[in-house]
Amino acid sequence: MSSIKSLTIVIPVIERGDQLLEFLNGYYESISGLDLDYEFIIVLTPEYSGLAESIKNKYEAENVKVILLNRNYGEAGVLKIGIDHSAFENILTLPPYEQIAPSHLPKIIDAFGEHDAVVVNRWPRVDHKVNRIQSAAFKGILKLMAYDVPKDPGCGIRLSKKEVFDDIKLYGDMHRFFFILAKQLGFDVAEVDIPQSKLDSYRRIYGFRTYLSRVLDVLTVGFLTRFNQKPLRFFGTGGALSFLIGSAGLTYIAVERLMFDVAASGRPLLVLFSLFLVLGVQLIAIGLVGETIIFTSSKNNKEYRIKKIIN
Amino acid sequence: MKDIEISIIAPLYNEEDSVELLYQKIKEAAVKTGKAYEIIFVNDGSSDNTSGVAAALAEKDQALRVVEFRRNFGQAPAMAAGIDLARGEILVTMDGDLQNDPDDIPMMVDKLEEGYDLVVGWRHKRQDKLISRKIPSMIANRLIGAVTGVPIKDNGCSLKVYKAEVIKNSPFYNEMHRFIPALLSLSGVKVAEVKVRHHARQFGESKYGLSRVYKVLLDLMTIKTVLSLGQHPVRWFVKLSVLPFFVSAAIFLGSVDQAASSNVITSTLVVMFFSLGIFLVSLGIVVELVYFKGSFSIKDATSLSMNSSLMDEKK
Repeated sequence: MSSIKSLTIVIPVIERGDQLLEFLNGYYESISGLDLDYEFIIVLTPEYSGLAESIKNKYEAENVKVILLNRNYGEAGVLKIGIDHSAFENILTLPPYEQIAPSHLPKIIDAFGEHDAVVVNRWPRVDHKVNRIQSAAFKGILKLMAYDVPKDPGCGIRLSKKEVFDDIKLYGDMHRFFFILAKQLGFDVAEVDIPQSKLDSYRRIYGFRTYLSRVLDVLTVGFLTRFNQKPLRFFGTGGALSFLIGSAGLTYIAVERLMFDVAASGRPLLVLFSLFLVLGVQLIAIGLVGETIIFTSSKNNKEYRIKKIIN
Repeated sequence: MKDIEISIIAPLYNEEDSVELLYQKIKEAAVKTGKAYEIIFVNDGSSDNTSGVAAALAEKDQALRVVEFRRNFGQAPAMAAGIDLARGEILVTMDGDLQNDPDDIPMMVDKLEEGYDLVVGWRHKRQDKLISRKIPSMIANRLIGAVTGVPIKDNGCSLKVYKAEVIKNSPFYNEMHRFIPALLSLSGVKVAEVKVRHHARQFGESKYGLSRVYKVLLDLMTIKTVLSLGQHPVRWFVKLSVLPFFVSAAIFLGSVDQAASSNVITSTLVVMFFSLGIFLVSLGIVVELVYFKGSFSIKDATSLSMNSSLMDEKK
């Protein structure tokens, strides 16, 4: 017996979409066997527009909708488009490749219960070693930066009330941090263990750019969740430190120049300390710009989220 | 039902022992003002049974509204939520831990009606720890007074009585609430400060410490910047950039006839300070853009409240 009556399944297809049709079949069978109203929304980027015909031929338009995009809006953007078109209040997001076996989908629905959202923790893992090392490294960095880190940040399978997606600003790669961002807004998010699919275990190596952008994303999320109301505390602390080192060093050089007649102009230290001073000023100034942004938009951005009001 | 005239707002965080007493004392005080009132308790994600106790009270009394947060967001957001939801023309904010005495409310409301827009409580016999609370607070108040030029003795006191239209348009976020009296006073709002009672904590633990001074210092920099930017952010940043440009030029002129060996160092310095100047001017332009796009235009401090009320009419 499932706890929900209706469900929209959103599948954004921006990469690894070649075998979508097979997986879709498995997912479809798993979901259509349940006692609930459902719809699939498949969002295709131009690269995969060829799949649209075969999907349309195979399924009834009522149950499986296809959205064709004129360009790639990035995974979070594509996901958002799918969610915006959903008819129901509960959204299940799936990647276009198999992370868990389709037959396990009902387990997620069971785990949903009274929570606002459930994310999947692929466990037990059958992953390739290289993948595991990558996942562990990503999670390690994430833990340094953010408070609530899910057990499996790399899993794209989540079941959530639509309001959670609407409250999180989905752009860029923010979908990866669904769990963290939802927790930040005070939503009740649970995790459920589902065995990883064998198909998900092959070794994945990405380009250098991918790794770099992951790290940058983590830094962004850390900043946005910890300092989003106080940019000056983030920039100002480092800036003040740098400024102090710079001014102390320059004072030392000035004292030596004036009291002991050591020529200042020939000293590399002069450049170093000036650099610290300049860096300090720059960081503080950037922090202050951040603060003015918060200040001028403070009436639009509520810092709190209300669960309920009595009377 | 009569229109609500006064809203009394108290944030609650793990106050299950004191919430009932607080409610009764506020109710007595509210009745004394002789106005149609509402009490707003904002439960800031308490981990104890504050929520249950408050809900039980609200069930028996229509005048008590309980706002439940999804998680713990902090005292300032809780106050902000209360202010946003309040329906009265007069708003009262106070601590939820009974350190403020609700008995002071009628007196403060009377003061407001003498023709003020904001009445601020001054805990003149403060019952707190000296080192961790009173001294940081004293430093903070001095700093705020020095920077803003508005000598308010106790900026940190939660017990305040506002006219709704004055506070609803203020930038009430994060820990900025302690600057609100000073900011409002600068914008021409009439502020009165009255002595209020202050009690030692009866229940629970105090939640703040010395790190406050540092935070206040940073927040003050923000306030100072926002106030100094005035109507022309670019001009303020250009003023800031004068010094680096000057240093750059001075080093350049001083090093023209120097030996070749020191050229690398001096020319590095020249370029470095010059680039800092350019950087600051560029930031000024970005801030101009922020102001232009921002919904809350602080054209200058003296028109703060006027501007924002214009903004609300447009909505």
